[in-house]
Amino acid sequence: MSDLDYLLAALIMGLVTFGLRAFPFVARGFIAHHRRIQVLGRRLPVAMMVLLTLYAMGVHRWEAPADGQTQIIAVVVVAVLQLWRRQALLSILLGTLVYMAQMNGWLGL
Amino acid sequence: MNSWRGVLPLTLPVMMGYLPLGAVFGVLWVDAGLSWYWAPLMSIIVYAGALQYLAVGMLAAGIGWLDLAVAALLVNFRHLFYGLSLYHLLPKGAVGRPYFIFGITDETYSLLSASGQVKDSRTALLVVLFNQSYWVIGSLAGVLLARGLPTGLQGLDFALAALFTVLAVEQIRAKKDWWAVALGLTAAAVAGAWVGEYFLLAASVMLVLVLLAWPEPQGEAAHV
Repeated sequence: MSDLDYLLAALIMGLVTFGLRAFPFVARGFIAHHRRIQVLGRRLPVAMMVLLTLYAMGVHRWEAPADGQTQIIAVVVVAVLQLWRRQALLSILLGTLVYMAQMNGWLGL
Repeated sequence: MNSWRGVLPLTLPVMMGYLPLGAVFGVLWVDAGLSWYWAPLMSIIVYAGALQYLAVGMLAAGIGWLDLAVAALLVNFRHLFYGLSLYHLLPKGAVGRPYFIFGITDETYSLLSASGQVKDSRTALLVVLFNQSYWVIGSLAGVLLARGLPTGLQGLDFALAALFTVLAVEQIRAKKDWWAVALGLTAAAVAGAWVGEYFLLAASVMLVLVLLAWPEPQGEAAHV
C-alpha cells in the first residue's frame, strides 16, 4: 500500500464516521420524525456487536464449532469478566491473555 | 471546572482505557505489516477505536474502499444518536465546533452525557482534545512497543474479538434486546453458510434490511 492508499483509507473511514457523528446536529428533526431510523438506532448496535464479535472470532472460517474452541473459551472469559467486574480494559486484557496462553502453548495447554 | 488542570482528573478513566487500547492498536497495526506511521495518523484522522481495530485486518488483506466505507457506516452507526444529548455543549467556534463533533467517541459521549460534571462547551472541547491525545499517544506507544515484542507471539489480535465482546455485553446489558441478539446470530449463521468472503458485508446488510422491514410491535416506538 502506498501513502496515498493509506490516506484514502483514513479519509473514507474518517468522513463516514464524522458524518454519523454530525448527523444529529444537522438533522435533528429527521431522526425525531422517522420511527424506522429510531428502531434501527436502538436495535442495530445490539445485533451489530454480536455479529462483529462472531466475525472477529473468525466464525466464517470454521468448518465445525470445534475449530473455534480457543476463541469460544476466551470470549466466554471476556463476557463473564465484563458482566462481573464491568471493567472493559480488564476484560479485554485478561481475555486476550487467555487466548494467547492457548495459542502459544503456555500452561501446557 | 473550567481549566486544563480540571480536565485531567475528569478524563483519567478514559486515559486508563485509551492508552493501553491505543497501544494494542499500534502493535496490531505493525504486526499486520502496515506502515508504522499511519497508525498514529489513523488515530488522528479517523479516531474511532473499534473501526480502527477492524481496519487492521481489512487493510492488511487488501479489502476495497466500498467495504471499508460500509464497515465504517455499520460499526459506527450507533454514533448517529450521540449528538442528540450533547447540543448544550456544542462549541460556537469555526474550528471548535467540527472538532467537538469529530471527537464524540463512545467514551467521550459517556463522559459528557452522563457525568453531569461538564457544563460548558469550553470544558467539553478540552475533554475531547485530551481524550484524543490519549488515543494518539497510545497508538504511537504501541508502534514503538511492537518492535520489542518477541516474534512468533500469536493471538494478540484476539483483542479485537475481546473489544467487540465487551461492547456486545454492554449493549445487551443496556437494552436487554434478545430479539436483536438472535437476529445477529441468525445473520451470522446464514451469511456463514452462503458467502465466505463477504461474510461481514452480507450479514450486516441483512441486519439493516430486516430491521427496516420487520413490523414493529405496537407501543414500542417511544423507547429510543
